[in-house]
Amino acid sequence: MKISEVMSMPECHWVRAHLIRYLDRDPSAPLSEEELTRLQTHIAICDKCAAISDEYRETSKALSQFRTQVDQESIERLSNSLKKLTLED
Amino acid sequence: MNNPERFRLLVEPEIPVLLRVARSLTGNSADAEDLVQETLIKAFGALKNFDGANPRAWLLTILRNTAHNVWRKKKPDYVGDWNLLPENKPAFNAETPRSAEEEVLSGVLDPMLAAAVNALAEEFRATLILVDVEGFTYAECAEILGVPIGTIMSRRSRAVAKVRKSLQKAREEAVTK
Repeated sequence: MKISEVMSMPECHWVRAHLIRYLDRDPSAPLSEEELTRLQTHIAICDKCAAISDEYRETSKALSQFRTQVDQESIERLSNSLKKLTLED
Repeated sequence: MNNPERFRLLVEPEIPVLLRVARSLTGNSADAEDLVQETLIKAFGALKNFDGANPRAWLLTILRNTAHNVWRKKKPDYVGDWNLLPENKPAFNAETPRSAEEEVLSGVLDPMLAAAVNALAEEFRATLILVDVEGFTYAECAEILGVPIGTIMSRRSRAVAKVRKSLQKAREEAVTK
């Protein structure tokens, strides 16, 4: 292992702990500007963390392909029953 | 709130979301529809207690409680029967159509991915499926599972890391065979 790799290990640890929040960009868990810069700067120079980031992205994309479609007829049946329910009142 | 028509206008757009969550909880479309039906009836019955703010969160809470009270008796492994995952074909109108190359690769990768997801502990699997497969936000996922958002973030992070490691191992094993 190179000395530069050993030196960057604590930063790798921090980046990997925040990577999912960075990739998801979920409104409930935003990263601060400072955290974003720190993460992007590290990924630009660390091949391992960049590779992990790519793998996370690919995994997430592959999982989204399994998304099931909602049956349109079910939606219509439930909409109609909701209409009945509120009209009966 | 005491206005049935306003209730209908707020609730109707949430039916597809409720159906997707119910499908995840029950494992099949028929039970999912029954669960949503029951949720709508309970929500209407509790209309007076609803302030009109965030109908989705309110409905998801009712749906989760209904699933917990009623459906758990029928299906003890609720929120966890993700064995249906490998049988699911990618949706025809999925956001990004696969290229021919991706289609070929998916034949190899999908079973590995499904196996990796199915190997996760239930709480990790549920979080991963709700966020990645079903596309719910952390807040919605927290509402569905009845846990804090911080727990969702932590579970999601650990779940993805575990899946990545499993996939890496499976790929290495496939190469050495």
